[in-house]
Amino acid sequence: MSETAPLPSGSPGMPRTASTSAFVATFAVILIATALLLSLDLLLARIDRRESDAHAANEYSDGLALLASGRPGEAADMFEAAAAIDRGNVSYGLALGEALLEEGRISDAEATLKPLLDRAENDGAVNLTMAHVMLRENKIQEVKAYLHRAIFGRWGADSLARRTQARFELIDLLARSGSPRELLAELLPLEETSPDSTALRRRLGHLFILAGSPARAAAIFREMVRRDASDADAYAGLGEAALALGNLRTARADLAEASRLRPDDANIAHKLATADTVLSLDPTARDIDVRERYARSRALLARTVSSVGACVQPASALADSARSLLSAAAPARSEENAAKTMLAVATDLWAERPATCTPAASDSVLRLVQTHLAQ
Amino acid sequence: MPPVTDVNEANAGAGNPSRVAWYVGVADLVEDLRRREDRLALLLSLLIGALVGLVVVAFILLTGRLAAHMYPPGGAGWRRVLVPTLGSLVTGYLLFRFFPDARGSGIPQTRAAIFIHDGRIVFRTVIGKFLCCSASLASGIALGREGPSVHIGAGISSVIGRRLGMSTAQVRWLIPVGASAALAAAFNTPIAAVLFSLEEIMGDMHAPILGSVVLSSTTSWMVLHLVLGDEPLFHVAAYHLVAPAELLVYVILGIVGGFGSVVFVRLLLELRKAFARLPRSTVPLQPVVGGLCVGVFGFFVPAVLGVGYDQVDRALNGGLVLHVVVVLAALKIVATAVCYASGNAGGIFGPSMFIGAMIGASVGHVAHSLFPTGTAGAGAYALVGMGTAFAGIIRTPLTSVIMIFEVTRNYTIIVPLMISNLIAFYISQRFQHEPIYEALARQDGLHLPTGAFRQLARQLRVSTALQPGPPPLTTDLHLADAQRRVSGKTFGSWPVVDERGLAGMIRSSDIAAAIKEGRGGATVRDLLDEVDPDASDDDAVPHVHSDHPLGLALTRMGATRHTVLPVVSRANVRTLLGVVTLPDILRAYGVEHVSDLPARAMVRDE
Repeated sequence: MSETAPLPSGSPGMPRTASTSAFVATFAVILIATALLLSLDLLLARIDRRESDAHAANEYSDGLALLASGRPGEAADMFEAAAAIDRGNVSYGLALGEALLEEGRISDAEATLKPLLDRAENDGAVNLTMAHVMLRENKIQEVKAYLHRAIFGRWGADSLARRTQARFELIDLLARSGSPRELLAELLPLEETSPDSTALRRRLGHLFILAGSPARAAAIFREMVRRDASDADAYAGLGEAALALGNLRTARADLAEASRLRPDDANIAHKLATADTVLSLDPTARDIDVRERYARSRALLARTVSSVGACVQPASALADSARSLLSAAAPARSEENAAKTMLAVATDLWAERPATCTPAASDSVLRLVQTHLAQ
Repeated sequence: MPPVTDVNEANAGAGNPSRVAWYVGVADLVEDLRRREDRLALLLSLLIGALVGLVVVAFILLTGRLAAHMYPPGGAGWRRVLVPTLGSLVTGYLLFRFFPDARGSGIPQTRAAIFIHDGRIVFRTVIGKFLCCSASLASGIALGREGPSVHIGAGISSVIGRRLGMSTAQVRWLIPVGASAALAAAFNTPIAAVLFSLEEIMGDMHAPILGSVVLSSTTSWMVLHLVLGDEPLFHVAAYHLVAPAELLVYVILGIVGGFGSVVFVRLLLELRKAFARLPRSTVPLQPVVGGLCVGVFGFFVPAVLGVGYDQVDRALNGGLVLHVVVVLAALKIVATAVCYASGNAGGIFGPSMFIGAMIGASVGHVAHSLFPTGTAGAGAYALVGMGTAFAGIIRTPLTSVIMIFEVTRNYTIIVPLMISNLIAFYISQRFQHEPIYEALARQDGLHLPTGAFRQLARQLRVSTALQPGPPPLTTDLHLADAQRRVSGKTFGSWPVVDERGLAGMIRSSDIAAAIKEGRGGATVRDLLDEVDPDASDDDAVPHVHSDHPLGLALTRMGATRHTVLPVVSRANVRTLLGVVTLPDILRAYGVEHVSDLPARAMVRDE
């Protein structure tokens, strides 16, 4: 009977039964077997990895084809299979997120992209897609954050174009949400780094006007005109920038030139009409008599009171005095002074308007006139 | 062994001092290792960890490659029926003809090696387990790779230990070292591998081999990462408890998982018993039943085939709908039970996790559809369900919690996991008293130490009072002759043997009474059948094992009214190792003046 405790610990000095040669031979066999097995395992792992990668790549390309043919649901299944095989490949997970987003499975797309961001938080493409997801969920602050990360993130090939695309997405968002300061902050670096493309420069020019920097817009359009004197869009942009700068006559001249170059363009015609309207309202024009100056000043004050009154409640003391001026009868002799007074009240009233007070679209003419007066 | 100094001198004569120094260094190192088992143990822990890790990685990769060839993408449906059927036919023959010890999971066999066979697992079994399991799992048999890996790892350790000429105790000591290395590589769970080796294989969380087990597990895990990279077995989103009330749903999951575990274990054991009753000539063909069963299931539901970890991964990420997970859970329970019971090679670790994930996902889907804002998605329940079924089926609650953490690397759902695990564990204990590995071993005629026994293991054992005992009576002996043999002896009960070994125990008083009735011509067998009609049943023979506590021997003496009990082998309850008597037990307990007691009255029943 040798029923002892199952696992006694080893004790020093215990004699071995195997001979030295058997002892050494056993260790040699262990080491050789280990080396051979390591080689075999690495070989098998390499083959396995290669085949898995190929299989995943096939699934991915099939998914791309399905996505291109407008079948995002089936594409998502393919991308999911590819991502399950090769989890280290961010492209597969990204494609899955995009397919899910296209299919309208917003929360699934978010859940797919989050682990990717955990692994590659600086990946530009993943951040850009996550921004799209956030946009669908109407989380504007998150959209801005992800777009910023996309702009400054890591991109593969064609990184400049992809970064520019991301920045334009952010710029469009800021333009839509009426954030001129943020918009200008995004436009300034873009002016330095954007590719030399006419369409891009034109777009940039218009965005500078929206961002409240018409001088930069004018510079861009002027350069475009210098390069191509027959570019109607450049003239139109130049006219628009001049309007925003308050240079009414220059604006009209540029817009007229644009209309001449492209007479059928309704947009240019509309801008030209706007410039004409602004000019017709300008009480500071030199070629008008005192009566006309008074009439324009009074009309301008009325428009200003109406615009500001719609935004500011209760009315300020200045607004009350403006109303008093408007309700008073026209002076028989000193129309010049009355016009000056009305003009001064109109500009002061416009200036005291809070920054949060966004003028209605119909006030665009008023805004242009006021800008001109502020020069 | 030649003296080292002689070798040194011989080499010194060769005139190359650096080579001589090198040789002397190696020779000293070898000699030191041969003399210091603690150092040898440390080195072997590392070597076994690396070697077993590499073998298990090869096992996983080869199985995967073989499966890829058997089931090419876009393969026809008939393949799913034919491949597992043929696979089980081939492996069934190989197992029967060449590798009979390589059947099944490998966990009971590993434990048997430690507690019965002096740590002996032959190399042929290792080879057979590797080949047959690889072929079997690749063909789609619904069993797991972890149990076989443990057996392979334990076998490699055993072979190395014996080749090095280590003592029996040391070879036994190496078994859990190899087992933990194998599990760490097979499941990518180094901590759970250590716990499993101690909790299930050794049955002792305080075993003195902890350091070696940790070393081998860690080394094996590093090898796995070196070859296959740092990827968890499953990729799971970070799940959380949505609301405190959600714990009630996890309680329900624990209950469902617990009963699911009981159904699975009972079905498997009953089917195995039924297969065991079939004629021995059918043994090579029995695995085909499992292959055909899983093939038919696989024809309609391919996800049933194989280990199914890809499906588990989908369930964990909420990618399977309710009716799919319910069907998969049901089919996997049946397929795994039939495959295992019919004698295919493969384990139940992986299937347990599969079944648990599907049960969990089922509960999760129902709960989420009823309370969409107050519960997590089905994936969270699949995750907890995995651990629940593991705790219910394998009955290692601590290992199951750690294992779920490690296979998913998700530590956020610990409280629900522990609650569900404990409930499933309790239900499983309550309705299926015997743990599955112990029941499987018992079906094979192996009486491995039970959980309850382990608590008593440190007490006085039967081996301390064991004695060779009297020459046993044979069943064909006439009672008159038997009376002559027993008369005047101090033993109150005598072992009776037949051609199978121990047949039962018979009291001297029963023999005397029969003689008094004039039945001296009857045989011992006749009397034995009369006094103990259940003696043909292995479990009914009064007996103890040498590692049983002495207190248990006393209890059994009281229950059987024998003052002498046979001590039998755990490997074969009919193999008589000796006897233990009441006076010997009392002496072992320190009752020194036993001779002062009325010995005859004690020893004899009258």
